[in-house]
Amino acid sequence: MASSSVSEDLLHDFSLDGKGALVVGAERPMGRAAAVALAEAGEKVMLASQEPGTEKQLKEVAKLAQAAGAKPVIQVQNAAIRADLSATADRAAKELGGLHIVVNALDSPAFGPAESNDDSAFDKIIENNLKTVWMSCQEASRVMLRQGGGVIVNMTSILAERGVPNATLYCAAKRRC
Amino acid sequence: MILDTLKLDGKVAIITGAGRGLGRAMAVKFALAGADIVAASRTRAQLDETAEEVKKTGRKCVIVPTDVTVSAQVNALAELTIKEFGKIDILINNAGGGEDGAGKRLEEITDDEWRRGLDTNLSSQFYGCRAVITQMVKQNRGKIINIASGYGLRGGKHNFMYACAKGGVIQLTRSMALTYAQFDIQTNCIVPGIFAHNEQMMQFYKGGKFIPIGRVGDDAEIGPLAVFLASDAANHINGELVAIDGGGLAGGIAPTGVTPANSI
Repeated sequence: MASSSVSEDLLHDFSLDGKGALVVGAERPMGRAAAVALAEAGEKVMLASQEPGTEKQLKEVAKLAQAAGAKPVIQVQNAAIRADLSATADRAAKELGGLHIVVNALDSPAFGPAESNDDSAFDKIIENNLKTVWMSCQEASRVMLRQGGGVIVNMTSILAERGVPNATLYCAAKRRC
Repeated sequence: MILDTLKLDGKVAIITGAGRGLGRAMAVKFALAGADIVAASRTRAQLDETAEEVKKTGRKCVIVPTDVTVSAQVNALAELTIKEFGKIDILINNAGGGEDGAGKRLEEITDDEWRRGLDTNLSSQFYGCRAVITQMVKQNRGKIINIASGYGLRGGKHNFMYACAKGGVIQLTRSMALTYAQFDIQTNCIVPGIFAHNEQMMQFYKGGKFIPIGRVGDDAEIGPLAVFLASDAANHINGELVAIDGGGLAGGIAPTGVTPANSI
């Protein structure tokens, strides 16, 4: 088997060596999985939270990322606050030597009958599932435009394409991601 | 390690339309990822060139001149693969073309052109799936990648057969995915946008300036996507369409070249 050329070619196609990758929502299951995969494919990874008070969870993910060969940087933040996202994007660009990849693994499931949702529920569900992603994209692209390129991966849900009972606002928010 | 899940070491892949363009690019990339290749197309001379490139990687390449519109020939392709390698891990239904009856209005299309267009681009993929599926069910494992087109999702002005057939390819993919999920067989669809395979096409498409990314696709760019879909990294992806079109399908109704005044 021509193993060395095989591996080298795959490595060339899928390696993220030298790329700075930021995962927003790294304390959540999908974010954690993305962080570990990015850590295996590259080494410059920043783990930013969706919610404050998550330092412990981020540290656990950092351990996994480290075991995968990366040198992770942790950023506890609230993804519902623009100033936090802005600071995170700037710090990522600085500490990772550029912000080339952003994975928005933001998710705040909310279920219940539509008639029980008042206007504040609408604001909260749309903000937690859509506005957070929008703001994170905006802050990331601000940095990426300056750099001259980048890749953004947004995680949404199968509920963006299929309606289910008692998930009216959640489906609507995911559809717009 | 994530890289290991992408390897195709020891896998056997049948690729139709492998004599040129996207098919050849996928054949070479699959070989580099570790797979042995069974390359099919109508033209032996082109297959010979593909085989030469594949063999440079150290992998095997069996060439099988095949007219994919003839089901007996497609069945023979699968049988030969089983005889040679004892299994079929991957099928890429890539062969097709848009020449027959393209550019015509509906009332100008003959019965024969309609049938040829559907045979070339839809029946061929049905024949491919049918030819390999018994073996894949027996293996309780398999990957099928069908090559559709943006025309499978949009209408085709003066492009009836191609659009109808590629739309059918998408539904063939989804129906395969549902029917054979229980046998651990994943069927997915790549939706290529515009790729210029030669200088003439490059000039025709003006380099692809009208595409959001500002250029046409390069044949080699389809390789890594196909490798990913054929690999264990994609074991939970089934019945899905992945467009590789520089953002073409992301657009809505805005006419080409029109951007809002404050666009960056």
